[in-house]
Amino acid sequence: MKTCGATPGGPSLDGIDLSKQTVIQGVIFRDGDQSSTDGVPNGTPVANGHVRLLDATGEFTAEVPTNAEGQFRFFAAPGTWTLVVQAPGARVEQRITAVQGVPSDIFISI
Amino acid sequence: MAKVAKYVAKERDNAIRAYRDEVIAAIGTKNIVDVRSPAEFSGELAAPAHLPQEGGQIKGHIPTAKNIPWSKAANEDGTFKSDAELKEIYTGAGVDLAKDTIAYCRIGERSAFSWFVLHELLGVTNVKNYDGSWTEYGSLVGVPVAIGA
Repeated sequence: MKTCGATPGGPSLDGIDLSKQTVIQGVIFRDGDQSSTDGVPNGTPVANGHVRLLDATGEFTAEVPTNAEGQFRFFAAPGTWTLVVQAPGARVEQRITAVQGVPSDIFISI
Repeated sequence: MAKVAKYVAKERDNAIRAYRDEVIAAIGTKNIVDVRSPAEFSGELAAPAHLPQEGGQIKGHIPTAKNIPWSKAANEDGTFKSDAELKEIYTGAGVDLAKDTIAYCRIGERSAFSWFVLHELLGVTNVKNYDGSWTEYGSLVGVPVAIGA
């Protein structure tokens, strides 16, 4: 499902109270390319990856595995965070500014 | 026909388990180690960030607790750090391992890991896990709570 104002990527937000949660989520693709289509990522979902959430000082906050569709989700707080994506043969870091109410829904290509 | 096995549980070992009143009495006297993430310790998050932030507990930590996240015991590849490194993580944060130590987190799961590090890897015998952890403490009326790093 596409969410207005966000790149489609992470798991469905159905049932999540976005007025109370600061969601950081997305999808990891190998050899993906976001620009070639209507914004829907292509490539192969990374189902055997792990995503770490580091706080603004770089401290480990949480880690989740990607699901079969290569998706992940965190419930954070407003502010600056860093995602560290790890999959066989790949490690990618990405900084995120999260806000309450509007999910940060990102696409990461490795 | 299925074989029948009989398992007999041992009496629970209270030497490794801390309860509420002991934790409250430990404030300022024993080592209290909060192994949650810094964001949970400071009160920014109510729960680990893979879960929705919707616990009924107040946010913060037990006063005088040292924040030593469980994850500090592990290398990036998931292996344990060396004994010397593990010991430095605790003593460097101001934990006097000669004194009794109580570890807690949100539900006692992550602190069970830290208990293992202290008790089983480092051989510190006077360590307890507060399995009520923040889910219990953060719900209590009339106990002191600290916020901030």
